Amino acid sequence: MKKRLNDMKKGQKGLIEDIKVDLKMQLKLESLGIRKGALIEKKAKMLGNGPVVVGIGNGEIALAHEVANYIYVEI
Amino acid sequence: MKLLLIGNPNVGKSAIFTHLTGVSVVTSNYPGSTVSYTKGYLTVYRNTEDDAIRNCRYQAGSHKQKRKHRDIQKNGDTEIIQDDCRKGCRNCHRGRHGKYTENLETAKVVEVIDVPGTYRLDPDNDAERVAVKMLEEGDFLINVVDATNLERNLNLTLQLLQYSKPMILVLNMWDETKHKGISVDPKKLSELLGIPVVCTSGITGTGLDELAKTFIAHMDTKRTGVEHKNRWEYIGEIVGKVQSLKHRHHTFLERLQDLSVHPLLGFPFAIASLLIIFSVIIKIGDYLTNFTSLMLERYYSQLIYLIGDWMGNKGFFYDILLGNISGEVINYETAMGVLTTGVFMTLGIVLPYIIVFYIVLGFIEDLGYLPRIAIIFDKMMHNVGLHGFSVIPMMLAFGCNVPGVMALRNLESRRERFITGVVMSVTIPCMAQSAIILHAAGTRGITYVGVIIATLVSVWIVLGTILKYVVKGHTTTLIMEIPPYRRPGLQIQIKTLIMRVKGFILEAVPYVLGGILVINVLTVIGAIDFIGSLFKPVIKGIFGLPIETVSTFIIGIVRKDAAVVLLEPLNLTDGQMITAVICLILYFPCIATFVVLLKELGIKDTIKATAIMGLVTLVTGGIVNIALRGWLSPSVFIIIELTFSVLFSKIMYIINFNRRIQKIGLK
Ligand SMILES: Nc1nc2c(ncn2[C@@H]2O[C@H](COP(=O)(O)OP(=O)(O)OP(=O)(O)O)[C@@H](O)[C@H]2O)c(=O)[nH]1
Ligand SMILES: [Mg+2]
Repeated sequence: MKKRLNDMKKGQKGLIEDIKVDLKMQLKLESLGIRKGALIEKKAKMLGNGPVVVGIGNGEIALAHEVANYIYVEI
Repeated sequence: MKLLLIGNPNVGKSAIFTHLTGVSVVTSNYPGSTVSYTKGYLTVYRNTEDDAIRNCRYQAGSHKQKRKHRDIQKNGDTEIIQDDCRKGCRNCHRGRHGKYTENLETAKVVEVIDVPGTYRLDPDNDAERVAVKMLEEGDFLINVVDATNLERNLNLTLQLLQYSKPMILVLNMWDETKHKGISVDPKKLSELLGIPVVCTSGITGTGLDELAKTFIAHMDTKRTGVEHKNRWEYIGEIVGKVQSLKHRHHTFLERLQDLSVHPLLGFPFAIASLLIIFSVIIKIGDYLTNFTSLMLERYYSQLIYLIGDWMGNKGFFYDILLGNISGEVINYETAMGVLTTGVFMTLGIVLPYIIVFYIVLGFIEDLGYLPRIAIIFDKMMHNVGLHGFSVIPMMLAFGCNVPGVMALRNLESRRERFITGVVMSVTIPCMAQSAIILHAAGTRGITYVGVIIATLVSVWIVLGTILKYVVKGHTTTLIMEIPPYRRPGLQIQIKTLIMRVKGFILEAVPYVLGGILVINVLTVIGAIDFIGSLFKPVIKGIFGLPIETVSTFIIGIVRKDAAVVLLEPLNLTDGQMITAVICLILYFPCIATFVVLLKELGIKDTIKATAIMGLVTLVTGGIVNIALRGWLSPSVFIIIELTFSVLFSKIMYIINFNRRIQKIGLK
């Protein structure tokens, strides 16, 4: 099932299927390891459209709500 | 020869740099603690029985060391002769290198550079740009990677391998791999990448000798760059071969990690911790200052009287150095001499607070709490056109505005840098200033401290909101690595603390003493009265302050803490005191902050920023002056201003929201 990162539940994992942001942002995300095909876990989300904390590789990254909204994950 | 320590942010480059060169630099547990490069030097002794590497300490300080430093900068990597080394290198001085001194002709100085961290080689903030620029100039690369986070780190490694430069891969955080259940095979990694791999710990220093030896063995080698087409695929392949993971249970720190960014509990947790942090700083600071004042009164006063007697208890120098010390005991707050009030305020009041503040800041920095505060407050920062990361420069500014402004380099857009820089330098008092304010306003009652804080918060909100809608450009979105919590290393904590306190004593104390000296001289020759008469309409008319306060505004340009000190002997009413303190915080950052602001924002934006500061001071000072004339109780004023600023922010949001909707409608 394909889901936006924002809509995933806490603790859900999946492979990133698509990242629909502009190229600049894509490159930035990629440099942090967030790229198509990577395994990603949603760890937390701040209230009121706050940032999302994801686990990727062995580390954690915080992503703004707007970005997390355009990351599609196959779970 | 230039040796670069390069790698992702927060992997321990600065920690390794300190170990290698003996030059202390700030290390802290959040991405972006180094924003500009630091140089250090390594002396490499070769062709002796066993090659060795020693660090020379060239910290600024003694004249000799400075000269040495210059010599090396001039000569670059020329071989140094015996004499030269004896002069500068502390270790050689002590003769600890006795064994090597005969062979000093063969010693070679290597310049080591601690580069800001970067995730990639096409940078998007200034700190990263510095890194890429340095990379072009480097002769030898030491790529520091976080061994617990191989995948992401190797992405940069493969990009670095494209350069035809000799390179060593350092698997730092080696100590952490064990309790994280990660095991990495350095031998295999070295085979796959075709470069030497060394495992180190920047905290304990293990593996650094081996790093130095490996460097000596490879310093003259050549390498041709290699390119990998499918980088991530190749990384996956490498990681699959060299890394294996073991399952293990959550540790206490990891539980704390989850709690700190918990959707519901994270916010109250953050507020509570910040409140606790600040009240602890204030409580302990207060306790310590009481102690130091007591000590000064008991012992230092004897010395002052002695000096007084020696000077004959009168004369020009007596007035300037000791001031008014008649009376039963010396009143250090109002004596106004350089050696009395000056010394009392800097060493007796400010220093204890600075020490307590930096102990606490050092702890939360190294623990890794700052990036989590950034996440928690991200939403709030959107109200002023920023995102969470700006919280970090602002937190640093509470210690001293200078590192706060420097940290602006981690922000990506000009708009973010401008808004953060202005809001920060206008509303956030540094610890030195806060210490004196707490001391001065505290004696007049806690509500008055409340008025100061509430006013600053209100200005922060209102100014930020206005800037959000006025400043052009875009605000980027929050994308930030969150490091794991780490147990702060005691040794590093102490080292950093000493470095910061030393910085304060060497760089701030002379200015405070000098400032008081200058003001005393100006008062004696009557210049203060003249300048005061020029600014009378503003100071008296708008702020309702006596003309003599002009001297505080003059000295405030240099040091804010010294300025607040000068307010004390002026017999101000409570309202006047608070107005003056608020105006002093707002009207201009100290000159040191101004200079870095100029460097970070550029001339045009700094002029704009200065104009904003002036305007904010006039408006706020005027309002506070009127409000505190006695017709309004201070606590009511606090409620009114806070309510107003929050409402203002909300109303602005609604107005602009409608406008945005209209825009879309027109399309
Ligand atoms: N456990 C452990 N912690 C380390 C090690 N090396 C560094 N640290 C800690 O990791 C954090 C980051 O270290 P820094 O030296 O500031 O990292 P940096 O690479 O200079 O980071 P930037 O300047 O932000 O690019 C600090 O809190 C260090 O105390 C290590 O080998 N083991
Ligand atoms: Mg660093």
